[in-house]
Amino acid sequence: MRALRGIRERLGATLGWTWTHRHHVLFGGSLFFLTLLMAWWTLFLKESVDRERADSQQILQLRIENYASVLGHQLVPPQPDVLDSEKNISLLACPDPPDPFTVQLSPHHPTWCLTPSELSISSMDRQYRLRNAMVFGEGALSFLLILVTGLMLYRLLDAEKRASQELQEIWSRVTHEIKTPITGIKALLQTLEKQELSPDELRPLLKLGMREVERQEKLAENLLIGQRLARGFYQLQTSRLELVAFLRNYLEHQVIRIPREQVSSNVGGFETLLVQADPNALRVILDNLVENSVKYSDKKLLLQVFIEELDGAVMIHLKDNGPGFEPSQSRKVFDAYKRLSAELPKGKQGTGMGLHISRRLAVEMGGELTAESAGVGFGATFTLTLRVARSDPGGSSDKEKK
Amino acid sequence: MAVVMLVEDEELISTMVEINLKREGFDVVSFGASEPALEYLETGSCDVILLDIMLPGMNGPEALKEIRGRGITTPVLMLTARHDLDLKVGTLESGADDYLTKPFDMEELLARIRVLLRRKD
Repeated sequence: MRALRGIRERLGATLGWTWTHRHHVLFGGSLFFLTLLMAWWTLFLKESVDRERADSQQILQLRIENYASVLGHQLVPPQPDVLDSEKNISLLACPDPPDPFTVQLSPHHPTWCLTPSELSISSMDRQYRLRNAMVFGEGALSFLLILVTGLMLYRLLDAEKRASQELQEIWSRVTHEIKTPITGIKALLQTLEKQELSPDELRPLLKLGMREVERQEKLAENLLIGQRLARGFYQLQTSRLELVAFLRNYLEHQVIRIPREQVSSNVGGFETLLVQADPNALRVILDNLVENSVKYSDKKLLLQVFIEELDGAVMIHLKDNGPGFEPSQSRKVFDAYKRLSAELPKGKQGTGMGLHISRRLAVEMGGELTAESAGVGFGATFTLTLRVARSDPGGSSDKEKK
Repeated sequence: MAVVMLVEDEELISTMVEINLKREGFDVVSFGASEPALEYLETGSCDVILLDIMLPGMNGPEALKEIRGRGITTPVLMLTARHDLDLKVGTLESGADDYLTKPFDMEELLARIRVLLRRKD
């Protein structure tokens, strides 16, 4: 009974495994069946070639017997040269003991025999070898083709499966990013509906609520820009922009996210800097970089924002004391939907779109966005490079339509 | 008075849940990450644990495993914005008592906490 139960369980497990991996089983089975079919076809062709050779030998033998009969009845002795060159048959003194391939010229010349010439035998052999090589060559090539096609198909299916899983993961992340701020705001509104709060209690809650609304707004903006950039119809309004005033104003508004004392900057040391930039795209880039620093900071965040002018370009550096990344990952951080999960603090969510979009926008503005880190635990520096605007007022606006 | 331990890194959600729990007469101990919560459980106790799944550092399912590994049988209600079936089943099988998907209604959260407390009694 126990053995029977064991067999049943093993059978059940095998069937279960087969059903779970049914696509692989079906794919592997088809490949195996095709290979078997190919092997059978090759053997069938080889059999045909062998039969053809046997038939040729038999025909030659009949021809020799026929000639032997004709020549054996003639009184004149046979002419070896004519036979060899015209009929591919050799005339020779009959061997002792008799050879199965030789035929006596009976009844008048029994000491002479006919046999296939060397040339006819070697020609038949060469033809046979050639046909055999062709059959096996075709078989091997077909097998190779089946194997390569199967491998390519498998890789294609595998890539499609991974892409589908990745898409599912991306949507799961996006859903998380959408739902989290909504949960907080919903809880805030439900509480306000039921409970009277004093202005002192209410103020910090509204500030937190506002921050979540902004988070939601930025997420929607990133998703929208990401979609437009991917489809190639994002409209960029690049113009002359006074960067110092822009950055001062921008940093002033960051107090909602980072306390003032945690941000240091050298922006105040500059009078004016004119760059070619789209103010909206620049804000989106800075928002994503600051959000990135805030999100992944596992201790008290210290953010340094400093600018420098070098060779007709202005560089904005954002340096944080966050977890950083391996120097080899400095380009990968900009990949779409990429999060360096192994290096970053666990449990941190994000769509993985922010840095990708930011770099695309920087390039669209004629600039660049790069990332640097001395390694995990050493913080990261993001550098946004923008073109300095031409000083002539005539060239103040250069709109680009993508 | 029942003590609810809240482990949630989202500040607004954590603050609002805390306000509502206190209004309903619960005592609340709140943490923004798993590690300090586990440290608290070494000496302190609570009646219900509300545990977010996505947490910085040690995530919710790992913290749950650690809690159950220590032999703590306090009811645990998992909170998350993700609704993957595997995740739900996985956390319930690892010892969670209930599961609530964000965005949740505050009333539903309170009702589920009461159910867990009744079951515990």
